[in-house]
Amino acid sequence: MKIFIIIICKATLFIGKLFKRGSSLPGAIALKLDKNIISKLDLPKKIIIVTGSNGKTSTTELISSIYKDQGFKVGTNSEGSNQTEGVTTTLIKCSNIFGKIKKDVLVLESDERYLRRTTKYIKPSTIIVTNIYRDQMTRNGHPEIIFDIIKDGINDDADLILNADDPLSSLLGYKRKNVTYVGINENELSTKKCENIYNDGEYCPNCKEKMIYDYYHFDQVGKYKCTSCDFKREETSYFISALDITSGTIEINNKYKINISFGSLYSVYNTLEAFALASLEKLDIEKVLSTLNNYHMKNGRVQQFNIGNTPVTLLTSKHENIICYNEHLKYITRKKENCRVLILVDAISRKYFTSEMSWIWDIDFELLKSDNIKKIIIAGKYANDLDIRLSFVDNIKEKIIKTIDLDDMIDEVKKDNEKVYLLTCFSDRMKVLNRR
Amino acid sequence: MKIKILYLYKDLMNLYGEYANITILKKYLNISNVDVQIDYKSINEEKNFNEYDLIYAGSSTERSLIRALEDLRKDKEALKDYIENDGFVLFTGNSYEILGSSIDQLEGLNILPFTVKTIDRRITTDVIFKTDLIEEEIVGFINNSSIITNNDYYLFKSVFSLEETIKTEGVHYKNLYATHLTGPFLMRNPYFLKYFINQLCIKKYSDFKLIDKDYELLNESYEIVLEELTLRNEK
Repeated sequence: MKIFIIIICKATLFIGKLFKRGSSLPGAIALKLDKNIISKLDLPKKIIIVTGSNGKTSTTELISSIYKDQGFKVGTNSEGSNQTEGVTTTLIKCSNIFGKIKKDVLVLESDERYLRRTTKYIKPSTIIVTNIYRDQMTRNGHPEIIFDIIKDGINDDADLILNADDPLSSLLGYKRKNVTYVGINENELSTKKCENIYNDGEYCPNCKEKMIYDYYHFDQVGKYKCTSCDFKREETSYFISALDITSGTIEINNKYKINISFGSLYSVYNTLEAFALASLEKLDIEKVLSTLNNYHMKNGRVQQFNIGNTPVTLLTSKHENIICYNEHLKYITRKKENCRVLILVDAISRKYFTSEMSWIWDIDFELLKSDNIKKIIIAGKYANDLDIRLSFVDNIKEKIIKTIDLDDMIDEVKKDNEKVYLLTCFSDRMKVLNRR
Repeated sequence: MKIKILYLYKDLMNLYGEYANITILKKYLNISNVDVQIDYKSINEEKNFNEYDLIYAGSSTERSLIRALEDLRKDKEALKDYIENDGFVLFTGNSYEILGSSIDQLEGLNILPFTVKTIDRRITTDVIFKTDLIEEEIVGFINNSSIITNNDYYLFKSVFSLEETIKTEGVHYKNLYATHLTGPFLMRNPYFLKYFINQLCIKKYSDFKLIDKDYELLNESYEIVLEELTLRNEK
């Protein structure tokens, strides 16, 4: 029966590839035929699962690349196949028809809402939780719900790698033995006060009494301590000792220097987590550094192209992913050159329909006040909501141009050769790319 | 003319950008020549309800809500008196759940008779509601894990939603307005915003006249969303 299911799954995957279809269906079929199919496969001992709100795909790719460069055979899933069905497809793809997986290590990305379903059948040796942030709340509810779901999905004997700077990610390791913490030391970007629209670190996630901070990196991420219980930011085994965000260089543990592929703090955490894993697994550090230094983000979050004669840098973020959006705004303000910013909201999500626009009030659009931003073009069906939102940011009214129609948006961009930074989501970006 | 707003637990109950309800309210009160003072009070801070014309609180996580409930227990009688004496209250998102008789096993403030049960799944849906208070429909989004029962004083009736359990929604009792609609609900519903401003100001200043200026953008936005959701409903 097992062999039969594996053959069906592999056949479906093959046919699917011919039609360029997704990778969850083969796994879904396999699970329908036998919901315990995964536990009947002969899995390698080393199974690493990466989950969290942001950075799963990048961190998974970094770790896979590290292992591959060291000569290991790696089984991994690509973006979009991180729910239990997608993971099942990946495992069966990697196995022979007898169900033996001929890989040395599995590096799997798991959607945070599906971790507990996946770990019912696979017992990972290591789980990395990148962070737990406000992300797609129209689907996820809020971060404490995601915390509860992830917590449910962590098996007792898994080693955890957690982000010490993020209270909710950190809380998963509270009073637990097999945990490694990573974090960023205080640096020139850190602030004494929370400079954000909301502060999810105001109250301790463990006991809901006040928390205080020595410094913040951004939002609620930083060095915190509860004023009542003993919950606090733990000591880190792997830390960023030096950081130059403009040139994109970091130093880990006072020793290892790395050039990261994109100058934003979320990239720093991804690299740090991958390094920590590699070091804990006692891999060849010289080779690890070489992989990390030569890595270029594959998932196309950041792209460069032209609209007419205008150079455009596309910074993609799911619309409802607050921290990523804020990080992109900060990235723009750090640039010295004058530029225009194009914000396109035509659809809110590519995965589900909604008209819910509350997330724009959580985003720190105050950053648009930056001197180097000369014009702000707001475009798409929901440009009016953006217009209302931006009307509460002082001193930028004269910079704003609104184009609800997308062709008008392109015309507006073409009026000038001045560099444009385009902020939009994964589905809306095609509407620009297709109109070049 | 002046309106004093007491914004409760802004640092604890801060989901879904609901602070924008007060931002928008302040802007449009100012447009109608009303000055606005906003005081923020939170955990362990003294709350003198009677000094204010409006009390506001917004959405939070379930654990934060319980913390707020425990903090408010000592002020229960004062809050009840304020509401019974026609004081204005606007509670958005899950904040109003503390006013009922219970949230699961936990006792509520018992100011209103409804009960709250938390369920395992998350209810998330766009909605169209209607109300007796204004002609225009209400648009918005619900994001919670709560089922409300024994609610005698609902505010809205459901016209469209993907969640079958929602037939009536929210609370309207004297000058208490409460709804699970999340986000800047007043901004998304300019006709309700006008109604609310009129109710709030006329109570204090009987010859108050709303100045109908600068609502165009809110109205346009509202029409777009209403159209999108109506199309969805028809599918």
